[in-house]
Amino acid sequence: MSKLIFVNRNQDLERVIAQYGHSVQALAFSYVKNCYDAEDIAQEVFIAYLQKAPIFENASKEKSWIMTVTVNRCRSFLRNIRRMEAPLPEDLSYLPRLEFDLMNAMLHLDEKYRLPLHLYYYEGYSIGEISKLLRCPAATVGSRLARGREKLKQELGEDHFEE
Amino acid sequence: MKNNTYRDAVDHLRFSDDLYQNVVKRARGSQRPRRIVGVFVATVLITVLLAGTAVGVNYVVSELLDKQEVTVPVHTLGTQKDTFEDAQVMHFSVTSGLPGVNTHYMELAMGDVATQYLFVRGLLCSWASTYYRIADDYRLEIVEFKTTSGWVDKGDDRYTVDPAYRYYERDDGVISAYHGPLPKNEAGEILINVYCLVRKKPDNIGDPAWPAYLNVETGQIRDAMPQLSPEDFEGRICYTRRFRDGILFTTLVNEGAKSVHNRYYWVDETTLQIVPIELPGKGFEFVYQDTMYYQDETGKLYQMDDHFTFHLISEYETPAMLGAGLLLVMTTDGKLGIYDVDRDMTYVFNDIEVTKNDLMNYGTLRRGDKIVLLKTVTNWELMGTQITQVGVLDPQSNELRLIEFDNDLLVTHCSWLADDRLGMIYQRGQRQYLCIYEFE
Repeated sequence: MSKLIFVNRNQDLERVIAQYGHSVQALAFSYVKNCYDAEDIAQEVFIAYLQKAPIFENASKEKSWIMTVTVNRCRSFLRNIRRMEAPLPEDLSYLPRLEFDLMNAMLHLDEKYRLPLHLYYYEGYSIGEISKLLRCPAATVGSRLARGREKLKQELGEDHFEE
Repeated sequence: MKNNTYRDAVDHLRFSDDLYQNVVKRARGSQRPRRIVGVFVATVLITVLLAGTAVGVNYVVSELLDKQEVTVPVHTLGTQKDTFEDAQVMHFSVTSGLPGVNTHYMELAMGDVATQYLFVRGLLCSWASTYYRIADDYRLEIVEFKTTSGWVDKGDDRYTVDPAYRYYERDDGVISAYHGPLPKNEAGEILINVYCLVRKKPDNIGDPAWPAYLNVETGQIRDAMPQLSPEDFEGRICYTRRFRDGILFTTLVNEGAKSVHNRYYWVDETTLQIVPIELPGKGFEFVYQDTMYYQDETGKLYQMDDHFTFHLISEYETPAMLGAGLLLVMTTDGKLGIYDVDRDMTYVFNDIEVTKNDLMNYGTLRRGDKIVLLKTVTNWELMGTQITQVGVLDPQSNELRLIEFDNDLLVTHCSWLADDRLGMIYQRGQRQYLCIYEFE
């Protein structure tokens, strides 16, 4: 019986990773700012899915669960890691210039601005959804989005922004 | 913010394509190392000293990560500075998903081949001239800590001189640790930049080091190798070892993406005279029982005489490598074997087939009756050698137990440590790890 469950979960796993793998890694990257740690965290998230995930009512709930686990794992990771004297930056030189500038600027933002911006502009979450995911009042999310945009505008200039 | 630009940037981030395989592998747990012949008699206990969150790096290592917890105090230096500050103690606990590696180590690992050559028994050395010793309880102790006292200025260069003029060696000949004054010649000079000292420019740490004589009484410095031009000696000094009552060292030069040994030199420790050694082409040298052997790219094997001249002693159709009295050979039917010089015996591994090209990628280590077989590839990004497979041979039973590493895991160095422990430096992404094997 346990083997059957594992096989079914395994099939689910492949689908879930195909569907959400990049989102999970991208969100983790927003937290930890390097691909390798982001991949490690993503592995842990999907192992947790394999071992613990309940049956979901719909795809939205499933994604919400996965993203919540991702946020929790990232926070746990950052709590445990020691601050490095001079952390090695991720080498993003392979990105086209505009993308590089923007990503670089994002990574230099404080996490409290960076994460809402990522969830808003990449995942397309509403302020309410971001508020729930980050366990943060909606008004705070709103002001951090605005503040984060302002900081990016100062850093990058108007070219990266549209009204 | 322009939606498309950020979305494109995130979509273009380079994550691994193996997420699903890695998750499945971790979820299913570890597997026993593959056995080639029979069962290895000794029990292998693996202890991970430093580990980040990369739990899935090696299925053998991960087996024990859940069972072992070791706290490792590490001393590190302030980096990116022209002077050394007081060490800062950092503690790591080693279980799955725990803290990463400090920046000092990572920076040393990235492309720093010198560090690999200085990874000696019982001692892990750093390029920035701080040397660590792995104690029995796995604490990393600083063996020597450079201070800012004793700076000697020569024009634009500054020489760091250890106040105690100490240098290091280990008992099988490689320079590692030594307590006592450096040897002086008749003029009262010591030889610097060979004995664990580096020449530094204010804006660069780890600059190429040029041997020089320093008169410790007057502070006068003179060139130890005026006959060479900067082009002849562009590289960093590395691979120093004791050899025939003197010191053998090499220089390492970057040629594009890779580092190559440039030249070999020997220092007469009585006179401190430096003798350049002409090598018979490109290849590898090994010292066995105070005799240097050299194997070139075509497989020819040479032996060096007392006058530092190489003589051809053997020519193989297929390459073979000599290390610690062991000669790697390929049998007529293409099987891999090890010829033991001391015992005049050949161990043939029936399950390992090799080609002429493959054979150049094997090396051996020896400690008493333990023989370790290493399969390597050249990793140009790391400017060094990546170990892909480690096998431990029991010469009594002729059984070989192999351990393979994940493709993501770059094992860059393997060396015997104190008390017959086998140590490996490996790297995953930007993190460097030290893994120690104990044999019961």
